[in-house]
Amino acid sequence: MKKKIKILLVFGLFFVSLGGGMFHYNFHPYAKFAYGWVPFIVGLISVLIIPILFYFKKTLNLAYLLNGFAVIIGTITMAHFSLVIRPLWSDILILWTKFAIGRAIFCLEIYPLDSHPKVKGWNLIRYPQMGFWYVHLVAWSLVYFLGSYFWR
Amino acid sequence: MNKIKYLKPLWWVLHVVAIAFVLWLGHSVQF
Repeated sequence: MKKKIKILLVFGLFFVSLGGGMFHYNFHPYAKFAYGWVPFIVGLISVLIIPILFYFKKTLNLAYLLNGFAVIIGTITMAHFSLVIRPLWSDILILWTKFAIGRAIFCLEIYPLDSHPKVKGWNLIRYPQMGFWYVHLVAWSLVYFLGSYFWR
Repeated sequence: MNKIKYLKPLWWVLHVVAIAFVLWLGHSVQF
């Protein structure tokens, strides 16, 4: 059953990424602005590469990292868009489905199903815990803000 | 997890590249 659940989650990730990618492509074709290739490339990686990387245990960590950072990039840029142009908060919430599915596949592979790993201290903000993602979301937001506000 | 991973070159390379990329992204995205 574990393998079946994993395959279902990989498909879930594929479909949510494909839907998000197609949805996205309607709004900005990649060649229009200098940064336009970023959502295009991240979308391609999310649809074609990350689900496959999640399927194999050898590439699980890479998949987990790419998936998490793809969600962080999307969150930051869409939050920026939401604050400047029009609200996209619901799209950001849908994007976090992708994160949750990725983390579910990761946990399914790493931990025994009934385990309750106890994580304390610094390890809470280190890979692969959720704190790692909170720290990186804040750090990426800060660096993005610095680039946006001071480098014009 | 390896305790001395922060001393490894790959860790630094990834962070420098990521910071440069996100700085550039913030700079180039003009809505």
